[in-house]
Amino acid sequence: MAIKFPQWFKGVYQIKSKDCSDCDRCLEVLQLIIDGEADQEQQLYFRKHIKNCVSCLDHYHLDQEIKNLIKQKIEIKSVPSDLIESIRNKILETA
Amino acid sequence: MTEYQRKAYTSIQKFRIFDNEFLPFIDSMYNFAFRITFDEDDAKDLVQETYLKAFRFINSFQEGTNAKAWLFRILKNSFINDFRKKSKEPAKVDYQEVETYYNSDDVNRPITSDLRVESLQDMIGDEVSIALNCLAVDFRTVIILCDLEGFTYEEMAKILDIPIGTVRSRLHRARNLLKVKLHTYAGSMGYKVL
Repeated sequence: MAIKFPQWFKGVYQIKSKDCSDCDRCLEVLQLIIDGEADQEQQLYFRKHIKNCVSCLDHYHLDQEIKNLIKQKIEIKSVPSDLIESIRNKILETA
Repeated sequence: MTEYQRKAYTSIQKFRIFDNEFLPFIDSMYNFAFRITFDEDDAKDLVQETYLKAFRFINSFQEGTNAKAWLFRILKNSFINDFRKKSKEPAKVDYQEVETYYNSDDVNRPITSDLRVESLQDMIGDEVSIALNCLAVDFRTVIILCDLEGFTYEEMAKILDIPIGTVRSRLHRARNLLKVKLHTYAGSMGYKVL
C-alpha cells in the first residue's frame, strides 16, 4: 500500500517560525514531554521554548490530541468469559 | 563457599502469584493480542499460551516486581515464535520504504491543508481504530504499549528487546504515520481542514 506523504506534512516538520531557531531539538523533546519521559532540564527547556514558538506549541497540542485519541477512542476488547477458566484448567492439568 | 540458590515457590505461592499478580492483566493482554493478531481465536490461544509459560517459568519471576512487563514480554515472544510466521504481514518492517516516501519530493502539490485539533476531536472511534490497524505491526505495537498500556520507554525496551533509542524513533515514526492516516480521513470525511 503506497503512502504518499503530502507536502503539507513535510512542511509541518520543516516550519521554522521567525522566533524559533531550535525547532529540531524542540520536536525531539516534545515526544519526551508527551510521554512523560522528559527530565527536569528538558521540561524547563520546553516550557521556555513554547512561550516564544507558536509552531512548536501547535505541534504539542496536536501530538497530545493524537495520544488522547488513542487512549479514549480505542475500544478495549473484553476477555471472553471462558478464557480464564480454560487457562486455569490447563494449568491444573500440567502443574 | 555458600552457593546462592533461588528458592522455588511452593504450589500455594505459585497460585497466589498467579491469581494476584498475573491474572489482573488478562484484559490488557487479550486486548494487545487481539490488536496484533486481528483474530479472536488466535488472541485467545496467544494469551493462554502466555499464561501457561508464565506459570511454567514462575520461579524466574520475583514476587512483587513488574509482572505486567514480564508477561507482555512473554506474549510478544510467543507471538513472534508462533504467530508471526502464519501472519500475512511482512516479518520485518521495511523502514527503507518508509524513509523513501518520507523524503520524496512532491513539489507540485500545494500546501493545502493542515491537521487541526478540532477535526481530530470530531473523529469517532472507528476511524481511529482503522488508522491504528493500518499500521505495520511493529508500529502498532509501540503505540499500544505506550499510549494504551502506559509502559515507559524502558519497560518497552525490555519487552521488545530493543534499545531505548529505537523505542523512541519507532514511536515517532508510528505517530507520524497515524497523523497522515487521520489527516486522510479528516479530508475525506469533509471535516474542516485549513
